[in-house]
Amino acid sequence: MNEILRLQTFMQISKYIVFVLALLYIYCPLRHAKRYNYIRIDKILNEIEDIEVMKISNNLANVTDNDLEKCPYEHLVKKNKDIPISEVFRTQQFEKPNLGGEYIQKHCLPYQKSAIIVPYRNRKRHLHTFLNYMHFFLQQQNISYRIFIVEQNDDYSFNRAKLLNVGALEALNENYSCLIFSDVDLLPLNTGNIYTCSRLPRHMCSAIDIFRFNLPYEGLFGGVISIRSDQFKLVNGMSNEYIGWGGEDDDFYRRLKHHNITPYRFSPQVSKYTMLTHNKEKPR
Amino acid sequence: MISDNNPLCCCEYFDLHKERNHILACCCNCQDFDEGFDSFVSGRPISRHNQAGFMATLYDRLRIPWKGGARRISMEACISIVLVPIFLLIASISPGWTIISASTMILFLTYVKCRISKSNPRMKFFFAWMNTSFVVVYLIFEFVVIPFLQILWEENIALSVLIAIAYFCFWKTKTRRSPDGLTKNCVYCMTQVPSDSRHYSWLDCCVGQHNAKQYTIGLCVTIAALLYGCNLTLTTVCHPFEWFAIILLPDDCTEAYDLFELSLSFVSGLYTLGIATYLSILLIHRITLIMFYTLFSQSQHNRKTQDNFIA
Repeated sequence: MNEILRLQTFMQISKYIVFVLALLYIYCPLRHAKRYNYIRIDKILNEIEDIEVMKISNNLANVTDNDLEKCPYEHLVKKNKDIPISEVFRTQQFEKPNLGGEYIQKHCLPYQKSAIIVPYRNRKRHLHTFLNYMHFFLQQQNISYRIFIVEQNDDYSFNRAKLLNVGALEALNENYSCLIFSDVDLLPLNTGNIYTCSRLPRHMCSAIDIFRFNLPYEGLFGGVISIRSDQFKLVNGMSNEYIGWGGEDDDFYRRLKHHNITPYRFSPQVSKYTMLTHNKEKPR
Repeated sequence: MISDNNPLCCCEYFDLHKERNHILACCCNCQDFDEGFDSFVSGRPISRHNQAGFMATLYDRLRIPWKGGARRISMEACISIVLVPIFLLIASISPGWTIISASTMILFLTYVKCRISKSNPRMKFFFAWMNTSFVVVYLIFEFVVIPFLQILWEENIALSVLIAIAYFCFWKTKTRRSPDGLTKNCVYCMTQVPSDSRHYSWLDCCVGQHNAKQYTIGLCVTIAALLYGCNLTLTTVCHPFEWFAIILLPDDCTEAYDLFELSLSFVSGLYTLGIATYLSILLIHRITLIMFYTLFSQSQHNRKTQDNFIA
């Protein structure tokens, strides 16, 4: 009799344990998108116009014309507004960039020169959309920039990190003080997302539309990121070992963390992106 | 012949002949089947006795392992548990299959409603079907949609809260109280229910004046939960956009069939939407009933007070 009673209590308790375990699994935070710390809109300017950033930038940037006023960024951030997605696909009007995709701000003196480095292979339609939209988007931002398209011209597996390293070396040779690594299918949807570097490396695309504008996991550091040239040199660039899809961004995140320059993010309000659809054209 | 007093293991049970049997032996030793097959092979008609016996054995052997002996599960539950996932799996192959699967399901359910429900009113087919659908859709949400890492913890909790409220409301609806006043017999529930009641086979319950409020609230919350779950699923699978900066809505589902997990989630989202539509029709029907009822009872109430006044 005692035995049966004990068995019954055991069954009862195990039932509860299974129930609690199921609940713990279902609501486990790891299975969900993350809320994350970010720099609030009103603090963004401090991060961009940081003395340290300016000092390094001005040393590196080949600034000859010192008569110009420093470029204002306040209104861009404070009066940021969303861009409707239809704008991405419209043919935009913009000033024709110099040979090599370079644009130099003539009306004011930007803090930095940004190198937008885009790894690329076999996505003609995306590249066309990207260039049309990005030149239009960037020229409204009071920055000098150059878009580097780094194409992998072979049939081996895609090596994103190596392409980015090549692009970064090229940009460093031309004294660009700020490196922005961007995928060709990610386009910013907010005017307050300024394509310059900040005090720390920055994950710029924390609110991508196909992820429901949420962040899948905290350590995500792919898509569009910005890093100062001196910081990129400090961590010795990215690893060339990651062949094929994925992994290199997580490795880069760990490198930065190891050097105590853990990347951060700006407010999701200005970090909205759209990802172009991949049907029709598939990367080889 | 219940001779031995040894407790049953979870897969054992006492069958129709009061004999100890085992789940794994479900396909063995069916005398009626053997006899029927014999007749079939030798070209004789299968006797009615064998048919009935075979069905009885089939019902008796539909069991799931349970503590203290295997439990019988109803035929309708069995059919639902098999068919709902099959319909969803077939639908997730391609858009064409989705259409084929959806129309087959609608035809099948209509057929069941027209034929079987009439001939056998005690069969709780729609109740079993609805329950299975809810469970399957929820399991797909928790174990296929959530792992895409796009839904916030709060959103999952909010959905669970809605489901809990709906469950509570229907539990209140189904709580039987001894009816006072005029009653009638409900052939489906097989009990006496208040005379103004109407049977809803999807909930397997009679709804009248006494539980109308719980039922209506439960229906509203269920529809809300279904629509919310559907929105979460479809915005995860499809390309979403912010509608007036208030709510995310899906706008481009062209990549929904690229991956099995995606297409299964997409199809379950569509199915959820379908159920929500069906329940919305019931809700509209309910609201019109209430409106008519209040109008009707008001006039009757007026007449009654007049009568009282005259008396």
